[in-house]
Amino acid sequence: MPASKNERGIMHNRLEERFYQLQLHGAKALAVFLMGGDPDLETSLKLLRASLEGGADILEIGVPFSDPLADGPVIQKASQRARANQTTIEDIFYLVRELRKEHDAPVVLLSYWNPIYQYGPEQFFQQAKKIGVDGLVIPDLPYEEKRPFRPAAEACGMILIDFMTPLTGEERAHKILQQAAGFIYCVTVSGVTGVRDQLAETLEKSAAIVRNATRVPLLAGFGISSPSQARQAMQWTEGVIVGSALVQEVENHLEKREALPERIREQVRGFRRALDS
Amino acid sequence: MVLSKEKKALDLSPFPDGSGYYGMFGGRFVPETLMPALEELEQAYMHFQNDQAFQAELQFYLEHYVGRPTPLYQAARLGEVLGLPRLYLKREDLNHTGSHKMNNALGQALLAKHMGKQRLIAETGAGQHGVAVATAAALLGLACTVFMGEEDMSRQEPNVLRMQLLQAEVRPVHSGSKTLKDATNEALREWIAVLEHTHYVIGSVVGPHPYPRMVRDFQSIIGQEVSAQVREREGGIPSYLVACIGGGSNALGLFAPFVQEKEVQLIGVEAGGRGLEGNQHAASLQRGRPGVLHGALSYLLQDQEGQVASVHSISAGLDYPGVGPEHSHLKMSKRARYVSATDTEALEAFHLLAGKEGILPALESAHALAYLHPLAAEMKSAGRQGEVVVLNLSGRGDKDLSVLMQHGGVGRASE
Repeated sequence: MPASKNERGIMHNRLEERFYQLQLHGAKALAVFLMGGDPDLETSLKLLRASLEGGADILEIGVPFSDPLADGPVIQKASQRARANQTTIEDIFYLVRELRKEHDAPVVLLSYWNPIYQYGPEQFFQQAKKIGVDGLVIPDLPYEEKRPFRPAAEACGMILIDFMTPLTGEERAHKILQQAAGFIYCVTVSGVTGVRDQLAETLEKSAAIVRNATRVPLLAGFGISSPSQARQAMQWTEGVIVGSALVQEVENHLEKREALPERIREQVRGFRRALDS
Repeated sequence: MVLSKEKKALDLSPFPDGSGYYGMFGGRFVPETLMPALEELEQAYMHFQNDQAFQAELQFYLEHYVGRPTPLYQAARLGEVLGLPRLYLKREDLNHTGSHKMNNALGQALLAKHMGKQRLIAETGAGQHGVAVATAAALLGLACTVFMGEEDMSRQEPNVLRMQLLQAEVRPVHSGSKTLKDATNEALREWIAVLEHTHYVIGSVVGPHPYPRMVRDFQSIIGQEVSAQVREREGGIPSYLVACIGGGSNALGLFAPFVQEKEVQLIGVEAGGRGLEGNQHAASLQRGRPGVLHGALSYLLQDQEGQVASVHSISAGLDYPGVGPEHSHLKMSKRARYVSATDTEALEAFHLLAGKEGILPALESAHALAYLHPLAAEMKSAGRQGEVVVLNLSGRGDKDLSVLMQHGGVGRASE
């Protein structure tokens, strides 16, 4: 990656480049979330590769945590499985290093704040950036608490992803959006992560607020469980984040993990087709 | 005598700052989904804090329903054994529902009702907070769901039944260590999911801003009464205040009005479990380091990678890896000191109080009682054993009968 800076002083980033390319081709972004180290480290590496083969644009790798309070049961269990395998932050970095040997797709890590805080935020940003992480999704670090750490992140080109929810008022949204970079994680329903049947209508409203304030792409997450929901969501967004539906597939096939890469590849392909059709 | 000097007492503490920080601790580390709810709550709290009708209503219930003020009892027989002639027990165990938890549960339930909420949710460890919230919900006509770890449900069974009799739904939590920490995670998840008509009643001085402050304020009636009662009985202020610390609400309720009185020594007693050497304890302030759990930055028991540790205490109410951020600040600024008592010491203190004063303390409060031995020795060597000690007897022990039976039970008392 070139280390040149754009007008905002942020170094070029695979996320921004990917969205630029997608926009040129009029395509929607598919971001895939999988828990690092679930069901085991090597299989999770295969699943991440399979996701890219299936058509994922962006990989979001979960860092397991003991107290994932923004997650529903599916991702909680994945976190527990990964922790039972002694998955460490070093292991997550290993996954990124391995992926970077062959792939240039943007990679973001999803981690709760405490593991990063204990590592040392500045060191974490630098180390993660060095091995090829482009952004961080930190579900328990809202705008106000993120502020003191933005300069350190921006200094090394690490993007801190912001959230919008159906309950974020317009005033607060504008404050958040002024700072936003990479993409905006748009929570489509109130609640924790998980597979849901209904996509809330509020997505339309959130999208309108975002469009008025920023050109940063909007991705819909939390509750995109089927290709048809992905199609629905993409009407208002630049793409979708699919997580629990894939993690559930991992849970369903713990006994046949050699078959998992193929299953995940196919499932991701299904979402890809829905976004491309 | 009901004291209504809340306003004055609150001004005594300069914390938290506008962002919800106590020095470097506190804050609001929660998903974005919760931020609007926390802002709404903060605004409502600030409003009703200065609303005379609200305060009068709270005062009415505290006096006529909860039974405040609670007595400040001079424990002469226990004091004699310990060599502490002026030992006082603040009888929070005599509150309706049997613990200090009622002060906060009622305050928050009333606030929720004034905010137009229809349902309360709560986490509980020992069950005392859950019972208090279930009670306040029944009193004020609100629906109630209490989250409780499976492990705690079995060791505090009587409280599960009490909550159910009060028509609350008790939802078992199977995740993680199946104790208070996980019940809190689950309650937070529920709140994220059903924000609109629901108020989450956090039971201790933990969680995201404004909870640590709000819970402290509702509990500070303990210290306010102590201040007036000691002045009346002793003509001055106490020299030592002692309370147990899980999240730290009964301790902060006692300490808060005295924080600016530098000559008053504030002593918090954490759960030493099976000893501080290993990891079978819950002494966050003594063995933890700053970290984020349940929305606040505070001392936390955790591993090198920032994973929250599993902890142990015989007392479900103290079995918690975190602690309120204001306690972290009081420790860091050296205004308060934090010590611990083991499971065994707490059990011995339980039996001592039962035998000497005819009071069965909660196992949580028994930890504070256990520290009176070393404190008495310290006071003696400083030539201060005649000075006033106030210990917060935060709850009564009926709920702990099954744990006590498992640990030697009735036979033990006659040893």
